[in-house]
Amino acid sequence: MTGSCVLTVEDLAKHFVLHQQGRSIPGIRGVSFTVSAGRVTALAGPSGAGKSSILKCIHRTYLPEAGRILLDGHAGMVDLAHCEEREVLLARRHDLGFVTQFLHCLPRQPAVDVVAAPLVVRGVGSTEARERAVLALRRLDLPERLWDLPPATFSGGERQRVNLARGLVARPRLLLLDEPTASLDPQATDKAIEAIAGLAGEGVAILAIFHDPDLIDRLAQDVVRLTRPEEAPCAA
Amino acid sequence: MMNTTPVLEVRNLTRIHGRGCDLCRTSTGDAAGTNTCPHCGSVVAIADVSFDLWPGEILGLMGESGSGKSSVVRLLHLDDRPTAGTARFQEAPGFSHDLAAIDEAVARRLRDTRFGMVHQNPHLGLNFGVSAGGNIAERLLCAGERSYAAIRALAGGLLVRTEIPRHRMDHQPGAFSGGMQQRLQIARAIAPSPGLLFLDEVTTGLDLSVQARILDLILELQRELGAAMIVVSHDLGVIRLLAQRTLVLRHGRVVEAGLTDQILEDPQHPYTQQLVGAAL
Amino acid sequence: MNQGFGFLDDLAVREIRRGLLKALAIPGYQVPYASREMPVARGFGTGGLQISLAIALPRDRLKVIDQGADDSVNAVALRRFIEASCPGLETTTRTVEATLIQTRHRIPEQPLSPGQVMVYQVPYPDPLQIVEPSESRRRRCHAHGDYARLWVRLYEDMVRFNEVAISNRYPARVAGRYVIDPSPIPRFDVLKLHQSPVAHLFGAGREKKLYAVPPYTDVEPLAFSDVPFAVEPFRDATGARRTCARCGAADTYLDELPQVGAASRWQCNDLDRCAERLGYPGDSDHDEHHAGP
Repeated sequence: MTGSCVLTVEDLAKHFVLHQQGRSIPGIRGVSFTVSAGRVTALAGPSGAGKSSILKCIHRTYLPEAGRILLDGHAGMVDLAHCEEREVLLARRHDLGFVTQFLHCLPRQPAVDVVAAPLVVRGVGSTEARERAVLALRRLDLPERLWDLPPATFSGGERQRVNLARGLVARPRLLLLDEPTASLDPQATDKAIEAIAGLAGEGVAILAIFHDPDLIDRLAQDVVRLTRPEEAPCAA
Repeated sequence: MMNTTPVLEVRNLTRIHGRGCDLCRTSTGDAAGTNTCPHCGSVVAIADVSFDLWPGEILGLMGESGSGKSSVVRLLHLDDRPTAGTARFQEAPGFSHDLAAIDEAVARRLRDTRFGMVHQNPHLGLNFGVSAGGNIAERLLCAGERSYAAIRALAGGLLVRTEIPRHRMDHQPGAFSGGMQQRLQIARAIAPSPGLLFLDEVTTGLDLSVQARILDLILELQRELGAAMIVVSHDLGVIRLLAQRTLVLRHGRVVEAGLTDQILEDPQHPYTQQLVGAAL
Repeated sequence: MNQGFGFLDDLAVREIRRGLLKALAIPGYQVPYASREMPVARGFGTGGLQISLAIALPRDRLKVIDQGADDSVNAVALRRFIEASCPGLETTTRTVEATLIQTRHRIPEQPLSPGQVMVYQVPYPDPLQIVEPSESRRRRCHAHGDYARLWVRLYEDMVRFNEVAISNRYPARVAGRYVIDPSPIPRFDVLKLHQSPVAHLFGAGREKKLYAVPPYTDVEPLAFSDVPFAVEPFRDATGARRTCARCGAADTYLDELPQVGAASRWQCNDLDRCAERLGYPGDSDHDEHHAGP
């Protein structure tokens, strides 16, 4: 499994049209790369190079404009740039994890259930799902007293660990990480890196953005370097 | 898990109030900036609305008041009949109905047993003249339950499930708080384990903490029942939390459809951009 | 036809008979009809009166009862009016002798036999009226067989009183389809409609509706599967079945007659049944008992 290509991005392009302001913002253009199973691939480049946009295009949170995003999913190859929304939702459920810097969750849900949610959605029994969630939270050193509380009241670092645990627990084919350790202290960062490396060791393909170049050196086997696109006038 | 047929296939659903004319559709809508036909004065509540709803999916309908989102729900809940279009509802595998051309008796059966509706205004969804338990009992009785003990047990269970203390079962809903009235509506709606639930602005006008509790409950129930839901709201937060996919309506037309997070983070249509921009 | 017989004009007779045929053909369905002005105020039995006049024949023997009695003012007035407008028709107070029995409140205690016809004076023909004020919506409910809200009423009674508290006008389903309001007869009498050998014709003069239970038709009071329908028990403090203070019957519907300074007296509501059990002592003082052959 390790080494096989899980994601192929070909000639991906995306820009944003702001109708109210009557202008367009450049995003990314002509981006191509692959992500392999069992390896951590880092997106590197200056701010504004479109690193987050690429992750969001893969997740279809942004609507890609051109190019192909081929994911080797549980049900075969899908082009996330063009497939139906329903197929994107299925890919998100089974193959695709996304850990952002922000945690969107239900107001009253305890942390352990937030983490277990991707498993429950996939049909894992609630007891087993909770057990696996607890393991992930322990691995990331989230204090046990917080497990049964809703993350809304947590600090940034605590929330980020819940978010990361949720991504880890799901063990998708492809995990997208957007600055997963940005608000963690060094000790927690070490734990997180250990967990991410462990996940890659289990065969998960990981595509990540790190805020700290040092982390790329520590974690990534592959690096995709991006440059800032030039400002283009609105086509319209 | 992989159901290959949608619960609902809506195609070109159109509802025109008034006598209508040949120019109604082309002279109203998003580009025209109105849903009143300048030629005949008819109101085009919705026109050419098409979408699929898959089993267990939550679809959001977003738009300002008058955009036609409630009209869509009224038509699908069989409270109104469309002027044109089809809406195929799959009751069981290989057994479906066109809701746009349905027999009254079948419509009633579907409403009683296969659909659930939760209104913004609890006075539309509840009978304030009978007890909380009686409100749930009505749905169970409609679905054919005739044992008093079974009705008491089922209604009690539904109240507890919707976080209403069992000892309030024989109280009238008028004595309930707003949040509790909405939860009672939900209990009543899900009583016959429907396959399709309509939630029309169910948290509008409630306190934030009360809202949160109801949204939580809705998602929990959705997981338990596996029911498909159509959620109408003008509140982007509600749509973001509940719906996987969203349709944005304006002047009776779908101006944008997509994954909810995509609509909120990368809106394409000028109107959606304005809507999302105003909320942030 | 029967020119000059039975007060009503030919057109009215024909319309009412036609309505009754439809009512018999669709058991329990409320047939609208043009209720005629009668020389009796609406609310005093004009619906039943019109049916009786429309179907009476000179060979009929008529009995009119009101609250189980043949001698109440209303019963006497109606009987006299029918008798006067139907030359040849006889009247009686004895259930077994009557061919046509017009009633309010009661079905006679004696078993009815084929060939007799029961006519009811109905104040409110629609059982849904207590739960739905709009007639057009009520008609839709009947059309759809949607009686959920009546059932909710039973449920609410169970919650509040631990029993169904409807004492009269108890809703009953006819032939498995329409639910009727069996006029103001007590619960005690509802089961007598089930598989009855006679036709039961209901007329609501003020509400302009006719409906019917044909002979040998199923009539089933609405009841939860685990809370059986029960008639008035007439039990005393010790739990024993009360008996009629006059004839001693222990199986009839009883009236409570409060006594000054003493316990209430209970006696048969159906005076003919009571008199029959006593062997018609002293030829009761009913003014028309002589009508029998």
